[in-house]
Amino acid sequence: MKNVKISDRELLLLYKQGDEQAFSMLLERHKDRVYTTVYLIVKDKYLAEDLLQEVFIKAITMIKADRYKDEGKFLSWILRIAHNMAIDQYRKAKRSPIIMMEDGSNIFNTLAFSETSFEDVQIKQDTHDLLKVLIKELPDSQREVLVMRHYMQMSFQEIAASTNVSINTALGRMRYALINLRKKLQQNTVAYDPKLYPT
Amino acid sequence: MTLNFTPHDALKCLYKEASNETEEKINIARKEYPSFNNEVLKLQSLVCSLDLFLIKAPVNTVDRILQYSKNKQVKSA
Repeated sequence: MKNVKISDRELLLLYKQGDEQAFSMLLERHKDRVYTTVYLIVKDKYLAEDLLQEVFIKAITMIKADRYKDEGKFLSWILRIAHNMAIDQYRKAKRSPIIMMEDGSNIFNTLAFSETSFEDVQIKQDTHDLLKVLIKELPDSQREVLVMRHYMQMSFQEIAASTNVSINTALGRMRYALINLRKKLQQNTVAYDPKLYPT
Repeated sequence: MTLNFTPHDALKCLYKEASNETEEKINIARKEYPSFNNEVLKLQSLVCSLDLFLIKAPVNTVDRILQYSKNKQVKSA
């Protein structure tokens, strides 16, 4: 079976009939987007791993119990589950903050102390790694809009309705998120421009 | 330079959510003002990077999900 030729709807139909290969394809197709969404909300890789598992377990349970009614929006549905679970976790974690190590592990699980510093950010020259750090540093409201627009593929109108704000507020948050990211990307690029720091 | 649209209009255009009329106004401004066009290009590049930015899901977790699915019974009709 070629992954690209079969729609989510067809894969779901096959999966409901017991075809595990169909589920494997669905998972392969959407796992990174779901993981990125929860990771950028909870900002902790271990928690994000648990959430990824919980999200798909919930989806599997609902599909196999025939409680999922497919309207051709599987990705939106699973991303909504992921978003809700991640927001719940994030709020819980905020109420009882855990001090994390730079690799995302709990400080109480290790003896060596280290903190994510600006220097750590600077040495991550790769744009992917840098974006990962910089998105995490955005204020919650800006990060939420960015995640919803880019990874949950929601329109600004939908984001405004979902977050109970006006469309102008949602647009303003996105605008500041982009401005902040661009500024920080420029700062980090300039900081490690080899032309400025010849060896 | 005086622009006849708001920053929010430009943002909607960037995300392909602007009306045709607004899009046209912005395209005219881009041709007229190179500095504005430059700003739009930089933001387009960032939006594109964000769209492409995905973090790889851990293999172990994916394996556990697949295993769970195999063990979970389908509800019989």
